[in-house]
Amino acid sequence: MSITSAFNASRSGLSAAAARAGLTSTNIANSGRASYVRRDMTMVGSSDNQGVTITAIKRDVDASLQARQRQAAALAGFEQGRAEGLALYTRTLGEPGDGSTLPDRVSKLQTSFDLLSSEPADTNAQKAVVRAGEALARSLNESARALTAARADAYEVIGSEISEANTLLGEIERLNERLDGSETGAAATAGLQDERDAALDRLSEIVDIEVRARGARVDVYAGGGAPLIEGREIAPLSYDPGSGVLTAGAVDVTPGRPGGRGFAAGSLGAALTLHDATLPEMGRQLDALASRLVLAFEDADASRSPGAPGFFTDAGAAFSAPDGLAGRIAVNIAVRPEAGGQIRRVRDGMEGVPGNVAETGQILAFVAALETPQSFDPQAGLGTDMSLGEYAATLVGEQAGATARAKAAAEAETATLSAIAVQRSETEGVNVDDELQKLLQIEQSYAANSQVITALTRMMDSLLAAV
Amino acid sequence: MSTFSISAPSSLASHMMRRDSLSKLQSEMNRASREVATGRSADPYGSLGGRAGRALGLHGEAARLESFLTSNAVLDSKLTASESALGTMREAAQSVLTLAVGNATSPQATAEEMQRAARAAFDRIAAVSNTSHAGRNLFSGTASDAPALTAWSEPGPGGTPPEAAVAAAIGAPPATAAEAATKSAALKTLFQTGYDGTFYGGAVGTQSSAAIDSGRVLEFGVSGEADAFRDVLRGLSMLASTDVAQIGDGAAYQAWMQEAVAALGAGAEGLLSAEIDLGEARNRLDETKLAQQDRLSLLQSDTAALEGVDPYDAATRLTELQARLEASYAVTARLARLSFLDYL
Repeated sequence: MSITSAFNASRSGLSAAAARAGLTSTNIANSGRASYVRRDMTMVGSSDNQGVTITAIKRDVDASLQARQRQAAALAGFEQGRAEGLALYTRTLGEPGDGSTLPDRVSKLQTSFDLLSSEPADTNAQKAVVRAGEALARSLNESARALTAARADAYEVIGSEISEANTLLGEIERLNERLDGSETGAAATAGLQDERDAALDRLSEIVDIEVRARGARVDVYAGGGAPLIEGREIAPLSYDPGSGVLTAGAVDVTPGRPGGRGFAAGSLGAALTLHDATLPEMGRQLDALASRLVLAFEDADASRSPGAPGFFTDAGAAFSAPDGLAGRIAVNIAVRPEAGGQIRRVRDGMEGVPGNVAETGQILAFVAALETPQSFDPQAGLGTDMSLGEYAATLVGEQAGATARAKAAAEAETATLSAIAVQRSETEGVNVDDELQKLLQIEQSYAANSQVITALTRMMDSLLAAV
Repeated sequence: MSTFSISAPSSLASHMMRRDSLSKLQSEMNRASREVATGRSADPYGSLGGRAGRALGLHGEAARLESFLTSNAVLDSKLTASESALGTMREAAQSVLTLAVGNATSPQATAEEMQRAARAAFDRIAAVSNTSHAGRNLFSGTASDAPALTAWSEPGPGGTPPEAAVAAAIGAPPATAAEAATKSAALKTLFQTGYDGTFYGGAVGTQSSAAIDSGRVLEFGVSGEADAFRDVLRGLSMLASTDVAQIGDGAAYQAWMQEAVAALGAGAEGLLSAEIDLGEARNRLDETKLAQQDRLSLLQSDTAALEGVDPYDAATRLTELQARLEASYAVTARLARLSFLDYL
């Protein structure tokens, strides 16, 4: 023990205090960054057991909370993406009571036929029937167009999300490389780890992932187990629109495949299920409504010869196939005077000869067609025996309801995500008040160490003066 | 220094939590104010859930009921007009019948008037049969743009006036009872096979019908080709074509008058039962109207229950949210100002 060793001890104290001040200032400067993890330091006694040295910059991440947060982010991304993608289509379906929903249009057609049956000779009542039919056909056409547009939008989202995911995978692997070569406990390492965690968090919003540490590197797997980054190999994502298959490298990771090793959540999963499953199913339900409209009116028309179109046509011809019929359905031009047709045909039938002006037989047949329960394909998921109006109401209720459900689920998942984030921030975040209190203590320590040095200097001076 | 210390959420997390709760309160307030203004739920599909399909269907049902109420009211006035026209026609026939019954066995003082009265009644019945309601003829079947019965001396749709057709079938007044029988039979044949086109110009073999409720069709109305009209007109023709005072033979006279009275009697009865049928149809319409009004008010209350929002409830919620938002603003402002920095 000598004055020199006392000097060394105090000097080490000063440099430790300075380093700690630097760390505290870094923490405070980054306190506004959401992905920043608080830096702490470990201090041990120096090699001669008298001073203090800083051995490592710690960055404590609660791994299980982080994994839970990434899961919640994937689910929230899925529901959010689903709600937004569906809303593009379902907002065109209207709301109860606004008079323009599909069931409202069917009911308007029904009431106009009812009124015609009590005033069959009235040309205004006949025109009202044709107008109501045209309004219904137009609503179906518009819904079909909105559905196609929503599907195209989902396709674009798929493309942009896949390219972002591949970019992130490349970045993560690059950071893996750099972290492999850097020393643990250095300040630069903590910064790289922050970057890598931010990239993984963003990736987990796009697809659900599992992250496993392998030394200084991480391996990234899809939620179902397929490798995305393993060892030094990246398996980039790619999508084949024809078959609807998403692959990571050579492995099929399409969401929704039972027993598959692929994704189940994330905004990419949402866009894929919308594009390949949900929206096509909704389209089939619309087409089923259009088909039964065309067929029911064809069957009810006693004047129609086989193969000729009825009141509702498939782009001007008789019914051929249900696919896409909602976009092609139109009122027969034979009843539209502006297209050279005759409006009396709503009373006499599409190919009927001009009959008695107050004849109601054909009109009542059309009324019955709209009232009678039709059989719908149970595969479409909306039930089997119901009238056209009931089917339209069920269709709109289910499809618009799906969007409302997805929104509610997204809100719930986002709330879970926020709760986990708050929990993580207790151990990993920067509390500015806490850092300021640490700074007080660092200031005191620095002042004390410099006082010691001043005292030792005076002692040295008095010794030298004595010589 | 213990490694276990109580930690607080990071400053950023606390700040984000306060911001989140403020924006949630603001969006809830927006929603509540919309509900107060419109009286209906601001997020119908979210609040209806699985009942959205039913709510949508209710609107369609209600619209259909309202339109039925309107069209059934119009139909009712049509039936009323038909009923009163039938009454008038029946009275015209009845007055001639009374006259004829009085002169059935032998011509009395009033016998000379009978021919004139019969012709007048024939024309009256033909005129009333062409009553129209809102421009549609009531007694022409489904050809409501065509005339029903033709007046005695007017040319019918086929060109021949009833007078001429009857004269062609009967010829001169009967001289014997046997002649009377033959001529009545010939007239009967005329009224069976030669009726349409001469006496009657409307649609043949049709029945008017209309939808009055979901799944219910009402058949109503009687057309000029009904047996009741044929009988009445046949009886009137027998009296209008022949001045019965000129029939010398008592037996022939009696036979002729008997046939005329029988025809007029049967016809008048037929017209009465047609009137009764129309009355029954109107009753059914009335019952339907009452049932539909009940159903409509039920549907309206169902719709209000599903989609509507109690305005008092919404206003209370709005006031409460406003108070909470103001409190949150105050707390956020105070906590933001509270920092250790100020005390260093």
